[in-house]
Amino acid sequence: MNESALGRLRSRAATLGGGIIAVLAALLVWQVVSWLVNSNILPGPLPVSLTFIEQLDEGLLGHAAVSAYRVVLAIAISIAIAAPLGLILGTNARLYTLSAPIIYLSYPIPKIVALPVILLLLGLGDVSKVTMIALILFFQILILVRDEVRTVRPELVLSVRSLGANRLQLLRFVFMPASLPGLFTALRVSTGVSIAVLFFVESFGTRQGLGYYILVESWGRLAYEEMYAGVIAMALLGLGVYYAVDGIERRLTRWNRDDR
Amino acid sequence: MSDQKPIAALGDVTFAYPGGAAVLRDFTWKMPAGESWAIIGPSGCGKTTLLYILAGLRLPDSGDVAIAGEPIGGPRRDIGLILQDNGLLPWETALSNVGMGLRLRGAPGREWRSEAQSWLDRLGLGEFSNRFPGQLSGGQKQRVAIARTLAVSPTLLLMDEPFSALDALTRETLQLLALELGIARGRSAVLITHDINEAVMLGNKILIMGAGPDDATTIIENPGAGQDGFIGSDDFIRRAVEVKAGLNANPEALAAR
Repeated sequence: MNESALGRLRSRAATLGGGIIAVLAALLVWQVVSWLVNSNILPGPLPVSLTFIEQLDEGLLGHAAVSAYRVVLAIAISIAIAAPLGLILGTNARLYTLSAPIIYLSYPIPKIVALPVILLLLGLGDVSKVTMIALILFFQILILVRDEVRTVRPELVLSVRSLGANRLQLLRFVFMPASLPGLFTALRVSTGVSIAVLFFVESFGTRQGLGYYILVESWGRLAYEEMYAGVIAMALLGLGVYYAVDGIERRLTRWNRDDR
Repeated sequence: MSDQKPIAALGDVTFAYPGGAAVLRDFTWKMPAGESWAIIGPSGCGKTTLLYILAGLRLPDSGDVAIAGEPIGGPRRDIGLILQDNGLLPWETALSNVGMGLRLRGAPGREWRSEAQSWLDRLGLGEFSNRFPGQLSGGQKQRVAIARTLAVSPTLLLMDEPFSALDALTRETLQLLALELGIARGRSAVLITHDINEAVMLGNKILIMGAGPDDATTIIENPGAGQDGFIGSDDFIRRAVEVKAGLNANPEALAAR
């Protein structure tokens, strides 16, 4: 086991090293292009970094916090609704058959086109912004959880039933844990989309959030260094959400990593 | 033992899977408590179905099924089931898997943990309690599955080809473990197998099923099972030959094999 621990450490170090190299390479390209363009529309990484730090105090941190709040709330709401629904559809053959065509038809529709309707129904405030993001996550989670539950081997169900499990206990001990990898896959693949939609919905009807900060407060005022600082903050938010999901997944699905 | 109520009794049981032909037809069988039965027969003869009916996981289309004198209506907590595919939950450690039956009965954490640990210790897996099934070998997994079933002290143990997915050496070790745990030595158990040696080793009685629901079944008495020195003895070999002859007696059974 010592060897595998060493191997894991080594692969972690390699990942970290690769990450550092990638960041350095990106910074280098940025710097070179900035020299070539030689204009205030593309400041180099150093002035932008300084502006980023300076802006944190001047409201950027607050905007980031509001954005983080919106996206985390949307994730929480979509999990709370889609995961139980996925469990029900995945374990009930009749409901699965009934719902499959509806889900099949509505899944490919880009949910963002529902935005005008949501704005009309829920107004311009936070409720509609969070709803929009949650709606996009909802279908991903629903489908992946449902399908993951359906792959549970019948032997598992039989053996736990023979130990005396009732329906609720089957959900708790068999189907719920079985669905976790699907849930986390859904979250990981849709983090990018949810941040993109966040950016979009924050460009109107609000005076808070990174989308507002980037598009209205900086870009609109031709404050290019601040605009880039906002872009960095948005990227960091995306990274933060991604790694948070990854970290929680590692903790909750330890069984799914080794020897598999 | 003869005056005791049978631990398991089937009366005129007929069963067919939805849309399929009957797997069992008017099947009648009685098993006194304290006996271990090996059921052997060709693939598709209905032996696994028979086991699921005894476990309460399938209900017959007609006929009576009684466990310890009570008609069966679903899974019972006094029946333990061990499957070929160990059926362990991949997301639970060996310890929580073994404690699962007790957890489902609402046992407090401290209680099921110490009970499960003592079963793991007894089956030689004490140091693996924190491993997940994916980190255990096939034989270790099957031991965990056995421990999980025995931890709830079942009065009737049902096993569906429990050792057939294991390599020969591991299989033999686990067959000897089964004897140690009381199979063929006073524990009420039904063992489904397609391995003649295993049947002779672990069955006080051996029930040979035919290929179809209408083929005759044969019961072979095997009083030597469970006794010291029986395995590999002349008696053992004679019995194995007898079982083989019983299996071959039905040409359809032979064709289906």
